Parts: sequence; C-alpha cells; structure tokens
Amino acid sequence: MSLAIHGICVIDVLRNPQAAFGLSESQWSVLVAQARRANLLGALGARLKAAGLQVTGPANRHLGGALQLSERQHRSVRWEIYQLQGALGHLEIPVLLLKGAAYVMSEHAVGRGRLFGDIDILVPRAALGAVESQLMLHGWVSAKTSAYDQRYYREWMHEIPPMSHMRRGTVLDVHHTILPLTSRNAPDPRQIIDRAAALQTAGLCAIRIPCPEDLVIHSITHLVHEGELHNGLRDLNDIDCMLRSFGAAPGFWNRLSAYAGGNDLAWPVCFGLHLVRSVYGTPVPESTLAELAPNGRAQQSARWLETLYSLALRPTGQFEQNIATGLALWLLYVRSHALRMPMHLLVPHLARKAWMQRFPAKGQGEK
Amino acid sequence: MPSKQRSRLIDTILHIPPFNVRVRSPFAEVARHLDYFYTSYQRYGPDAFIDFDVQVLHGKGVRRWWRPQVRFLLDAAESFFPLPAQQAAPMFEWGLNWCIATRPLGYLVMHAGLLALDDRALMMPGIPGAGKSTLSASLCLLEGWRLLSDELAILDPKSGQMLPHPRPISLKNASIDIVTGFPQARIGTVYHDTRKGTISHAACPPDSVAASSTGARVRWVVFPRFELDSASSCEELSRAEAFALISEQSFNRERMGEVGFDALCSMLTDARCFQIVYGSTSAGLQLIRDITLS
Amino acid sequence: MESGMGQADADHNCLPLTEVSLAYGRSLIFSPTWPCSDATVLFDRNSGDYWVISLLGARALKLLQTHGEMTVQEMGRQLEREQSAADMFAALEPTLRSLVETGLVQPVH
Repeated sequence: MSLAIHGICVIDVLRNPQAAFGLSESQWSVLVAQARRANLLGALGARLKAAGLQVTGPANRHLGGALQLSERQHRSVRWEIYQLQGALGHLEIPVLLLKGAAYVMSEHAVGRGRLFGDIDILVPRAALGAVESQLMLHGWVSAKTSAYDQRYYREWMHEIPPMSHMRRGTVLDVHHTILPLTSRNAPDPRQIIDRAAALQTAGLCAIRIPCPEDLVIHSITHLVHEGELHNGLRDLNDIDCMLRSFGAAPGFWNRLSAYAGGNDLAWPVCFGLHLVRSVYGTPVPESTLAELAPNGRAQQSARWLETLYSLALRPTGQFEQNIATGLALWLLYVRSHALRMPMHLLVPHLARKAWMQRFPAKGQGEK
Repeated sequence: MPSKQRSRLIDTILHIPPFNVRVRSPFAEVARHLDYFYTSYQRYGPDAFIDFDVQVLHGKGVRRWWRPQVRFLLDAAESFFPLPAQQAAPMFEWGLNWCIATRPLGYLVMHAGLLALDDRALMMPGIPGAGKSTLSASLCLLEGWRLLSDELAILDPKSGQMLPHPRPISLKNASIDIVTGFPQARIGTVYHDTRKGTISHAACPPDSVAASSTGARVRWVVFPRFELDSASSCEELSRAEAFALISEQSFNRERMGEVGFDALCSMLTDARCFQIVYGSTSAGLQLIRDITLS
Repeated sequence: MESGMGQADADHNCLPLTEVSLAYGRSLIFSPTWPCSDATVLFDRNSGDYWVISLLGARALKLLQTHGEMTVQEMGRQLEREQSAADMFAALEPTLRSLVETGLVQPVH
C-alpha cells in the first residue's frame, strides 16, 4: 500500500534515509510537516545524521531544532529519574522505567532524537499506596481530579491517575501492570520486574530497566491496546529501532517469543511484529512469527486489524484526515476500549467522554 | 468595503526574515493588513519551503455568523481560544509571535526590542510597562536607528549574531497617540477592547526592511523603566544580574538547554548592561544617546 | 529549588560539613568569568535551572567537578593555592552550606 503524499512519505525516508537525497524544497516542507505531526521530527533528524546525510537548506533548522529539543528532553527525563529516586528510594522497592524513560537511561539507540511526553514507571502493586504518598510528599499531584476519572483509572485501568509535578510540570504515569485489570490478556508484571536489571549508576539504586525483550513486548502491547494513536507511528518507529539493534544479539528472538508466550501476550506481539514488518520493513524471522502464530480464525481478524492500523497510522499530508482514516481511527478507538473494558461499562464511559469534550469544566485555560 | 462580495481567500508565502510564512485567510482585514505592512516583503511561489503554515479562519459553526470569531491555526492545529472577528489582523500578529517563540529552530528567542546602528545592536528586554515599544518607535523613526525587531529578538547561537525580524511595531493605548505624531510614522487600524487594551501598529521603516539580511551584535542591553515625570537615572548592571533579568523575558531558553545558556552568556560578554529610569520619551532617548555614544 | 533529597536528609544540614561531593544528577556548566563582577552564573544541563552564585561558590563547584569527593579542608587548601584571599576559609563553610541547601552539593557520609 502506498502511503506517499506529494511523492514523499516520512516512513520511506526513515526506512531508507537516502530517499531524502535530491528532494525539492516543497517536498522537504511536506516531509518535515509529516514528521512533526507524527512526533518523529527528531527521529528523522537522527536517522539522517546517522546515515551521514548532510541536510543543507531551510529544512535543516527544523531537523536541528528537533534534535536539540530531544537532547534537552533527554536531560530533563534524566533529572526526573533522580527526583524519583529521591522520593521513592527508601521504600526499597524496584522502580521500573518503561518506554521513553527506559530508552534514555539505558542509552539504547532507540532513544536518539526521540521526543517525550510523560514518564512511565512500573512498581509492585502492593507498594502502590506507599508510592503514591511519597510522590505527593515530594510535590506530585493527581492530574485528574473528577471522582469519575479517579475511579476509571484506579478500578478499571492499570494505573493510578497520571500525576504532575507542582513546580516542574512534568507528568508521571505510575503503573502496576502493563495492561488494564479488565483486559482480555493478563500478563504478570512480576516476570518483567524479575527480568529487569539495575542501573549501574551512583545515586539511582532503586531504578530498574526491563530487559530488551520486555522493552519490545511492552511497546508492542501498548501500541496494540492503545486507543489514541497519535503517537502510533512514533511507537512503531521505536519498535523498529529496537528490533534492528536487539535482533543481532544471540538468542534474542527465542527469548522474545518465550517471554511473550509465557506472559499471555503471544497474540499482541505476533500482531505487532506483522505490523512493524509491513510498515517499516523490519526483518523478523518467520520462525518467531510461527511460534507466536494464533490459530486460523484469529489470523483473519489479525489481517483486517493490520489494514485498519496501517490506515490509521498513515501520515497525514494536508493534515485534514480523509474519511477512511477518520473511520479507521474511530473504530480502533472503540476497539481499544473494548479490549480494556467490558461492553456494559464501555458505552456509558464513551458517552461521558464525549460530553466532557464538548463541555469541558471551567478554568481549563489555553489548550 | 464591498460587504456583499464573496471574500477571496488569501494564500501567499511571505518571506518575513528569517522565515518563510504561508498565510491563508478569508478575512479581507488580514489581506489589507498584509498589503499595508508587508508590501515590500518578498513573496514566494508554491515551491518554496514553508517554515510556518498559518491560517487565520472564521469561527466554527454558529460563531461564523453570530458574535463572529477568528481562529489562528499553525499546521492546521489550533492552540488558542478564538478572538472576536474584528481582531483578525492582530490575531495574525500575536499568533505569529507565538509560532516563532514556540517552534524549535535552533534560535534563542527573547521578548525584547532590538535596534542597531550599523552592526552594533541595542537590546531592550520587554518587561511589561517599561515603555519599550514607544522607545523603539522613537529610535527608528526619529533617531535613525535600524529596527531589527519590536518584540522578538532572535539570537543565532552558531554565529552569535542577532537576526533581523522586521514586523509592525505594536503600540498600546497612550503610545498610539505619541507615535502617530512622528513625521515618518505609518499607523494602521486602531483596535479597541482587545485583551491588551486599545492597540495599533506602526509600519517598520522601509530602510530597516531593506537591510534585513544584515545581522548585528549586541553591544548594549538596556532595561527601561518608565515612571511619568520622574527624574532620569542610569545604573550599570552586572552581567550576572542582566542574565537573570533577560532569562525572565526569554521564550525558549529553558528548552534550548546548554546551547541557549552558552549563547546568552557569549552575547552578554561583549555587551554592557544598564537600567534606566525615565519620565518622558525625550528623557529616555537622551539616556540612550548617553549610553550608546560613549 | 530541587534538592533531590528526602526529608530525613535535611537534618544533616545541622551537622558540621567534613566531606562533600556534587549532588547526584547534576551536570553543571559555568558562564565565562566576567570582569568587575563578584557573581557568576551557573547552569545545570539536566534540570535546566540556573543560579547566580558567588565566585567562591563557583570555584568550589569546579573543584568538585574535577575531583569528585573532597574534604572541606582539602578544598580550602586547593582554593588557597589557586588564589589566596584573607577570609576565604571563613567564607568557605557557609558557601558550601548554601550550596547544599540549593541542592547542588551533598554531604558525603
């Protein structure tokens, strides 16, 4: 399926940086705009730099600026993690970094040029109360204040509501498992914690990083279950980067399918591998896919879903989503909620969310 | 104005140094504003690279007609609440300021007036109520200084140069009358009841626009404070103190991390910093003459 | 101001400082030494914060950057070697205390 608009598509350039050679100025405009929209401008800059491509001309400022911002955000994440150590260190529990924060601290190549939003951590469920209190003592407050939202997050989902720091404004998502309690799949977070490694850094003894296989599994699981896909292409880019760099390590693919299968995540990971291979051309061994492969009926629904995802992830050229993409996005949104919540809870919840969007509470300032 | 005529959509790419800005809008007021204030600026065809893709659009749904609104979009995304439709042209100016202050392009952007004699620049950080805009207008319209920018001082860390960014000078309340009295001034529409009070704009002098490819280095940083009818005073500040004051007026220094810090320190190393208190425009101009001619 | 330390550590501020190091997580750069100035500006790349500090404070931090941990005595000797000042020793401990309070320096236990 061709995803090119105006003859250029950001995915093509990410897969093959040489495709950026000889682009016209207006094509560069489109490329930069697509990348920015997909939150991949820094990653694009990093890939072009790694390929030794010198970007002359006006696009250079945009790429350079994004790389500079990424560098700044990396450092900011680093600082936040020291603050987390300060707040949670004496609880003597493992604090696992997930996704972006893990990429920064582990210095894996996937972090290069990446732009960040929230920080995600995973802690043992039993320690959740103590963690929340300590965070509040150190200046984090709950970002969602309505009683309904509090209940949604605590009772049904897999996180306490997001917390934001009073002074720094950074947002922290504290998880105790990687999928909502009401999900169809039920992975055991203890496996991930047991396989995680400590950071060999002074002053960060509570902090852990998941093993490479679990980083990939978590990123795929998150993408496949997520309703809001505006970071979908970026997450898929992360997965592609990780598979290319981790895939070279001996035994990686065997461990990947073993850990996924052993933690009730075979289907999502199988689907995710198919998806990243079809969008980014990532080399994935057939044997791994066969080990994870679902039965025939699930395969059909997987193909349908893959098409839907590719459509929803298509970079928007003129920024106005066409009807097909819009429909695909809406279907995926509903589906992701269906995966996370039983139907009888789903419809009232979606109706309420729609209401809140049209009539937001007063005092919400500028967007 | 022909009210029954169908509005023509403006779609143009303007070179507002150092950026290319695409502007699309159905508002006749925006077209007039661009014609009046940006007439000598270079325009590019559709093949040009676009740094900012800007739209100034009608309000959504019922707000297109009833208590009509205007919306500002960058790359088809809206980041502000709408304003009353009469303020379409100021909306363009404020929105563009936000775009430049927010989008990371490697430049350190500070809220300050910036003027130059040859390649020596005077920076006046924009502490509210300081009277910076009236002083800027006076310096370029009466004293022959080149205007690099009224609001957004852009520092390029790689070269250490301030990059000219000529835009209409924004005037508020009393300063509108003062500047209207200047012989060379070209003042645009006056807008009432905006969130900044009564506002208008004075055109950037044509010589300044013509010289906008020539940078300058900051030699003087002056923090003005206007106190009606007070005695004039001038005090030199340490660079460390100036750093702290300028940082408060910087839009993106934090987001620029080490690069922003180094660039600001280098800029200050070659400059002298002063705080002035003045009771009238002419007193303010005299203090600046004393500082810059010594 | 971020201290990166828990509540319990605040008590240590009352004890005499014997050995210090840069606080965990800091990555510091300094402004140039500007003439005719008794203050300088310091920037932490990680938190993005900046501080206006005394020249003595800046020199102390630069020493810690180079040497890691240092006893206050050794620091005083090094500073004297570089540039002697009459009341420098007297000023050193209060300067270090305020750096600890600001979260730039931490006591070594």
